[in-house]
Amino acid sequence: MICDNNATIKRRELLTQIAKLCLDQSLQAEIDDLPLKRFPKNSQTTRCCVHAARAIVRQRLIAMMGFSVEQDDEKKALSAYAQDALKRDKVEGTILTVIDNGCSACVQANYFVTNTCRGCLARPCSMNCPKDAISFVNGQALIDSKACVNCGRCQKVCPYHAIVYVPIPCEEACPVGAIMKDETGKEYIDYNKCIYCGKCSRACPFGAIMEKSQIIDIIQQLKTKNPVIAMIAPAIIGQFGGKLNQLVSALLKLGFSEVVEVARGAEITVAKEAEEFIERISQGDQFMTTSCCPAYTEVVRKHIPGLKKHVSDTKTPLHYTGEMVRNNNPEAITVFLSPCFAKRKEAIFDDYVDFVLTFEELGALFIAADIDVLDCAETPLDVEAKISGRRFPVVGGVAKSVKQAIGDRVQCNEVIINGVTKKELNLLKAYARGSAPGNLVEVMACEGGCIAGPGVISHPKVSKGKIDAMEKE
Amino acid sequence: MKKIKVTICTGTACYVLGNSQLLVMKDDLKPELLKWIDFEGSNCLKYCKDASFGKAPFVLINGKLMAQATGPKVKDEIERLYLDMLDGGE
Ligand code: FES
Repeated sequence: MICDNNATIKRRELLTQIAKLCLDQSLQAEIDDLPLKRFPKNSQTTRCCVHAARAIVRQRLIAMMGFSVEQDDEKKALSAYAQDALKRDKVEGTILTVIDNGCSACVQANYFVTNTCRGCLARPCSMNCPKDAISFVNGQALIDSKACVNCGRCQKVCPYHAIVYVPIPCEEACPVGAIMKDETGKEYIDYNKCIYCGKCSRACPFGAIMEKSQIIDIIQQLKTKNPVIAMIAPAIIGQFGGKLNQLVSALLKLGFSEVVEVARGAEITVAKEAEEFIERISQGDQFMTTSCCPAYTEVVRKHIPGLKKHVSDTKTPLHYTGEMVRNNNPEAITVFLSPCFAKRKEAIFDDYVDFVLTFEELGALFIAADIDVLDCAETPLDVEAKISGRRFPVVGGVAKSVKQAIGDRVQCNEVIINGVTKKELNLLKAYARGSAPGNLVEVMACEGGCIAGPGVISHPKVSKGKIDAMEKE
Repeated sequence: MKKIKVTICTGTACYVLGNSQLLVMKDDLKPELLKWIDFEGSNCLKYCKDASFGKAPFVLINGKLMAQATGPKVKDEIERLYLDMLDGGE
């Protein structure tokens, strides 16, 4: 995601360090020293002291090695985690994890009385509070966070504007209310609700919500003689500067044996989805929605089951690509290079996909291996995907390709849901009652499309520019 | 007046650690300022290979090295140079 903050940069630096240790075969020997190296004695930190900072680095490393911090045994050394990571076949369990030492346990209630409160005689704040949550201490109003229901009336009526709204960034970013506080004020994720969109992790100013990386598992695979095949999401086109064919060389240098564009699977998705659309509409269906965004299909499964019958049964581009690769090479280890967290969840249920690496993790891996994409020669792809598949990650792209494939066989009016927030969630709920303002609904959980996913490096504008340029070729 | 030359390193280390965001900086500079700036991208400038230069991402502004570059830092420096130029006349 957008690298405009220090939490992002720090995360990428740490990922690079862990990747480097793993490449050098010194993960187990040296990882215990890493927190200390990041925060030596007397170093500056945003936390209370270096020990707290080190404890957080330790937990970040646990997540980066693919383990849940929720199950952390504080007595277990990082080197012991490393040993387990190097032995296992797969990362197990949830996709995300909360660094509890990192979570600053933001405000309990969203409304907060500042020092400008005069403790006036009128006291409209307490008079208007429906829950009697406001008392007066030392001549100033005080909100009882346990009683407060965040209605905001007190703020509106205060003549001195003494009450401020303080957001909880992760909760605000989550479109489905899946992240909340436990009794101690720290955040936790309810996986019965979570759609794996990753918005919370990028919204948290403390970087306290992390994905569990598979980077170690993938590096280990790359060291073997197994054919490890990189299946690149089309959103990769804008990611590293340089040409796509240079990126292919860089991936081969890393140790991948072959590079296949997932945009080719997208071409299959387009063809099938167009046929499905024609069939459904001819049978009298009101509308059909796309099915390639895994966070959206989780939304339907967990929050709007009524919409299920409108979702296309066509499989995702990743699935078709994996199938193609496996059919050609049954021994292949398949790695999806991804802008998205939710695709990790999809991969768990799809036998054609073994591992998922985000672009951000790939970037760290390039730096660790000292591979510079811009300095690579060009290697052509065996088969180049068509623009109908390559435009999938730009919002509107899927609908455009499907519509083109439908042609004038049936009337197609597309509706685009550009990013799923609480507002779009309500729209989708309304569609589930039977009608939408068009008959082909494209849904992208990330605003802008996959090029704005939580795992990207480039600014979405840059990626869009590159893919748009291909439209004209 | 001579244009201000801004070289943004887009080698992989700099790109991943933040310079990808500088490529859209043009969009929020004022047109009259933009006229006086020459933006160029560059392959790895090799500063990332030697810790004594500081940390990536790197940007060169009129040949002067900036480590840990960010949009606001680069913008600030450009504006300073521009004002200097105006002061110094032609
Ligand atoms: S990548 Fe910028 S100096 Fe090497």
